[in-house]
Amino acid sequence: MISVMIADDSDAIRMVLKDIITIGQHNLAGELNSGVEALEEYTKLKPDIFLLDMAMPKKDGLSVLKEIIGFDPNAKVIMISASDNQDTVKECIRLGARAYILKPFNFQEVLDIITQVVKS
Amino acid sequence: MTTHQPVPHGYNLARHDEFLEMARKEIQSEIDILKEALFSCTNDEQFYKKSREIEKHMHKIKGLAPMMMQEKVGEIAQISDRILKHVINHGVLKGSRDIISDAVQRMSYLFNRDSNIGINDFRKQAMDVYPKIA
Repeated sequence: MISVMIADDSDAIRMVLKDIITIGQHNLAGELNSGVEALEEYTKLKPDIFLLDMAMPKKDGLSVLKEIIGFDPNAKVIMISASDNQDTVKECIRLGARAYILKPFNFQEVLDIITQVVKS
Repeated sequence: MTTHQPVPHGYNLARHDEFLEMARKEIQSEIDILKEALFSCTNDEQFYKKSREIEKHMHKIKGLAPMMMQEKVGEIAQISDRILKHVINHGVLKGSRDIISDAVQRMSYLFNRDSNIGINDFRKQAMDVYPKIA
């Protein structure tokens, strides 16, 4: 069973992501509504996958991504964003994100990407 | 990267309703914050100073609205987001305060009153005023 941690400031999006994790028969390792405690939680929970929203108040996804990869260069972080800006996508991949999911997303798309990233 | 219909076949209807209710509250909250922020801007210079803050709220609507089948609200937010990013990166843009205020009013109307009204005139207005941005 794949353990997945999620961080998104939207309650609605977190609800959908949790349902996707359930449908995929994965395990929800933990959920965060901001990026502030992401590194601490990641260190504690050690999830197989971290679904990380880009635009969060206080600390954005890019800052969290840098912290996580700095701590664990093999971390499997999947960014989620409404931005289709190619420079942003490239920057995330350059910093170590394994994939980039664009909102609005489809359940199957998210599950497929989780599977691909875990296998990679 | 591809976009698909967000709600899958067989998705629990009760959960779907719960999602819609939650998403509606979040979008309404963002629209209210945007209205307040824009109310305090009387010109493009003031709008530029607040553009980063405004963009964060617009960006959230852009991601969430299409997931609750509010595609028109999502498209207005998407066009507005492009204009806002241009303002953030390039500075004061003539007419930007007015067009974003108009966008927020339209989103509010679509969201709360009539989701059937068209947005072609907004698309055209944005394209006419900012052909290289919108």
